[in-house]
Amino acid sequence: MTTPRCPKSWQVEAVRDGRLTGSAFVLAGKHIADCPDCSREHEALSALSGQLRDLGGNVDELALRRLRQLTLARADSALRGLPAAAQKRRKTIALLGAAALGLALVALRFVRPPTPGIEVVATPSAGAVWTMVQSGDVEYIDLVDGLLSVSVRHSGRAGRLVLRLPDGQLEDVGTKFLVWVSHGHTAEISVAEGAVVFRRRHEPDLELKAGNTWRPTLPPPAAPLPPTAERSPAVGPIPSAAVLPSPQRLGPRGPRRVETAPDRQTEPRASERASEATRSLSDASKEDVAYLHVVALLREHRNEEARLAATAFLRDFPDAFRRKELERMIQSIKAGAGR
Amino acid sequence: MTRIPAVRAVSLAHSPRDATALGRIAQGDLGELGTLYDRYAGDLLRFVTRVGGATLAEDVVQTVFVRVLTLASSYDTKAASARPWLFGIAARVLQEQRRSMRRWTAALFELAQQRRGLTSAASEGTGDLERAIATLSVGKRAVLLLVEVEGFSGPEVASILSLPLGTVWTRLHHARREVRAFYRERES
Repeated sequence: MTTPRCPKSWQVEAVRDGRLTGSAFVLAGKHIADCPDCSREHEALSALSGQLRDLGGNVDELALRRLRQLTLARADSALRGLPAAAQKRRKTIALLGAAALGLALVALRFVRPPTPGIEVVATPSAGAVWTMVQSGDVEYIDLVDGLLSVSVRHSGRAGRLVLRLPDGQLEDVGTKFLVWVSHGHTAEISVAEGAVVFRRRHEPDLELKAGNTWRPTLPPPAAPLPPTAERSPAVGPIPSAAVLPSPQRLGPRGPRRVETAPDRQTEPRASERASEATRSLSDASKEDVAYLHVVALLREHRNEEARLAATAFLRDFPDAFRRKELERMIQSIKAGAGR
Repeated sequence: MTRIPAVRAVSLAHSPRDATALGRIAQGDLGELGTLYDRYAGDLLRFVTRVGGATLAEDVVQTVFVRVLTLASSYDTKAASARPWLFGIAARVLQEQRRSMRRWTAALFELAQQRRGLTSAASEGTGDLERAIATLSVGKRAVLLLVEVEGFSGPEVASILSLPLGTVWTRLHHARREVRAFYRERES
């Protein structure tokens, strides 16, 4: 087995392996027959090939028979197990899916931020003196003086808002309302949506619902209201060119403890007190209160009453700066009624 | 003068029996699987033993025939014989087994160290040849055995091992050269 020196010796392998065909095969065969190097190469490869074929030998028949039994038994087992395996696979997939869903839900429970309990938007008037603090699940607003519009949104979870006033406190029951404090006394509470419970010192609890306006029987000493143009839009769309102070948005808050509001009839008392309060207020305050009354009626969709109130407003305050607005309002109500 | 042999007859006679058998196997006929086993298991076991070692061989052959149960429906009934197809499955199963390096190393070790359960009237020279084959890489060894021992053509080997034909020729050439070099070293 020596290395061939003929440069065409590669053809020996090519011929043996069938890589050459046609005339190339014939020419290569002729060369191999004539070339001593290639002939030796051919003989060497033939010898190797023969040895390798002999190496193949025979497989042990007994081992092969034993393996046959094992193979067929395994195949039989696999054949019978195919539907079961498919069913098992489906079960496994279902179990894995359920587990993944469970994990996702658990992860969502821990990853998702807690649902806000309440969201408070407090819009103070210019010059209003107030603070807001949180204690546990309760959000406290302390209104010392001025006008504050409060909007509370409950998202189904617990959370309370208590507005502390100089002469009592107000608890929100899910609403939009406006509170005015003047000279250390609550001068007005007007509820636009929902309800509040007013707990005034030495007085029974009072539930004020949407549309209710509370004013004290003995109003506080007259004081000019904060500029109306800067008052909260909580009770209605108070048109203004002035820029309202940025609302302070709070929340989310923790669980809310629901307390049952006392069941009291407040509407007649509020109306009576309102009329008395209106009389005792200064002209400016009267104008504001009358205006707010119109807005509150509109909020309640008591359009005809609002129109009458607006007409009375124009009659009582012919020089009011809201005159044009209320005239438009009356026209709008009339147009709406006409339709 | 040296007689030049014709190109080695490597083509296999058409075996419609294989297609029929595989058609029945696809329907779950284990008797036909036994028939197919009787026809080709010996060749497969020999090839797998030499390429992958005796440790793996029986398991690989079993796996091949179990896998035939699910692959039978994809068999090309126009194929001349199921033999290359079965060797192709065996090559893939062997490749999968190779991923387990520990077992593969053990198999190579066993292949290099001991004789297998194959009965062979091997002479002392044949023992040298086996050692020479054992020194080859798995790729070269598989090609050499498929061509020289199992009688497959180059294109058939390329199909069985999923290799380009040029790679088959190259590996075959190098395998022969290395085996002959092994002999030369022994002689010297």
